[in-house]
Amino acid sequence: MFIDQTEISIRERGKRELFDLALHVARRHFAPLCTALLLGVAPFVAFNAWALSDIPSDRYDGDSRFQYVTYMTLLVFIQTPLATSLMTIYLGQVLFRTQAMPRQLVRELARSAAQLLWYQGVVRGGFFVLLAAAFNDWNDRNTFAEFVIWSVALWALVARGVRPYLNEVILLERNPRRPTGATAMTTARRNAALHAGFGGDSFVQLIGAGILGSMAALSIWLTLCYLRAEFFNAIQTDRATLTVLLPIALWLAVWFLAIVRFLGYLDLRIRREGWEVELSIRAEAAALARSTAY
Amino acid sequence: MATPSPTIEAPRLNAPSPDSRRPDAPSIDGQINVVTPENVAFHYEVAGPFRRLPAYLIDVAIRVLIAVLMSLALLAVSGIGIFDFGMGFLAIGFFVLTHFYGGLFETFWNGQTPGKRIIGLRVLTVDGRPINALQAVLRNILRDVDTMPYAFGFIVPDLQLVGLYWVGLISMALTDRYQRLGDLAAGTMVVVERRAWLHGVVKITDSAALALATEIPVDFEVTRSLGKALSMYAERRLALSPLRRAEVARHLAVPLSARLRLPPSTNYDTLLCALYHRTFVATETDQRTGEPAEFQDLNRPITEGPRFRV
Repeated sequence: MFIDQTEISIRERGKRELFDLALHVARRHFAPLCTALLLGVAPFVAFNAWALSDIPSDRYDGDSRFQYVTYMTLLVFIQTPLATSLMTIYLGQVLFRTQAMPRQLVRELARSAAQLLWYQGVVRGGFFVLLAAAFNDWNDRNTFAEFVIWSVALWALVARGVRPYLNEVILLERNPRRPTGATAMTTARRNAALHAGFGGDSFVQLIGAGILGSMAALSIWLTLCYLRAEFFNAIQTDRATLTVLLPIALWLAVWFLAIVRFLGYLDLRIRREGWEVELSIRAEAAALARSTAY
Repeated sequence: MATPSPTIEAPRLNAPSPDSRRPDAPSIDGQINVVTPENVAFHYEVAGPFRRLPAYLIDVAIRVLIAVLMSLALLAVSGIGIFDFGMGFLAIGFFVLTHFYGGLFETFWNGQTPGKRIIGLRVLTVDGRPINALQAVLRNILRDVDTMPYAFGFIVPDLQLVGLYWVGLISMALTDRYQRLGDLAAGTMVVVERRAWLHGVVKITDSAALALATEIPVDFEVTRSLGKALSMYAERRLALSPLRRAEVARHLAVPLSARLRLPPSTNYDTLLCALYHRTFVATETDQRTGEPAEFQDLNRPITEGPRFRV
């Protein structure tokens, strides 16, 4: 194995090139990435359908449709880091062309689960949103639960805008949560070091990715409506366009953006830490060791 | 703060399980090599949909501007009794604008529209040659197919004429050169215009490195790949923190120190700088005589010259 021969060519790239590259990564690893997403989102899809089931069932007017789209989008936004964890681990594994066996992926996820739940669930508020959505009365507007959901979403937006690659740090770098010494590296310190001075850029990038993601989700949704109309002659908008097609469109957009996020993380590592230099240097060290052995 | 080691960890070197499904598959990248029938190789960076998007939007804006100007011109002439003639002229103008804007520009501007020129893109044939008029028109006419399906008016009434572009996007995702159907039919691709990169020798000013360079045995041969790695390190090291430099350099400096019989306390960064200086800057004559080093052209093929073993 040659560690400078990676699945994705290691070099600096522009942001739009990362989106283009994500198309090819998605193509080559389509089935495993879809499987990883399905496994990751299944519990959230079920939860969202249950938690928001009151909105369109009581009344199906423009106001309730808007309410359903808004809160479904917010829930998906909050749940994205947890739901795409398996995808991130898979991409980290195949980067060096190692076999990514399903059991191994789950084992890797289990190793990082405690930190993932702590940071994404508690520190960034994912659990509070789930609780608020579960117990909210959607027919009674302006409740405390809605205030919680919006507050946490705003906090998550800022946190993920300034430090977008926390998931990758937790899942792929595996630093301990608590320090073992004054200078020991922890997840929090590693996360701060990786993103230091990058907050402004990354926030703008998050907004850009958000706009593209929204356009992609809208485009997928309209396409699904088109296909449904073509194949099932269902040319009316009904509950299924919201309760079935909208979540599918949102999660498909998340699927693509998760690949882009992983590539963005790689690019940041390359820019920040001379990662492509290190891989090249390590490959030469290995070659030197081999030639010495002979 | 100390910069930690990168731990999307590269597998240990004795890791036994390279991906057996595609061990020889090329790395995923947006760059391709084209070899012409004359056996000349070119290296291209192909542009995908997201890099083409700004160029497309600029061209759409220009087309809208031209359409508005044509409509204003029609309003201006409607007062002098030639409204019907003006309407006919306008209809032809819109038709040409819609279907031949891209084709005409790409024909006469050598594969570029105004948007592509501003963004720095160009359409070429898949074997790296300039496109002809037929190819330019064909790839633009087929844009209507790439734009399908169209948004449904019953959901968002004003969106009924907006294309969702899924045919083109899926086609680009499935082809290595990011070709939409129009490109596939015309045998074309869109590439990023090559920027002029200035490569030069990095000047090493650290006196310890310069001194150490003279201690490296003359018979130590630097391979092509080692030369590239050293060059990459020398170019990027100033952007890294001192701790990170040491961390990166250590991988190679430790076995190098042993090979060159240098003391283990040799500074890792200094050693790589010294080897870089000896390889790319100082000539063998310089080392023997102690004369000031001369700068050599790094743009020459790295295989040239006596010091590289290929």
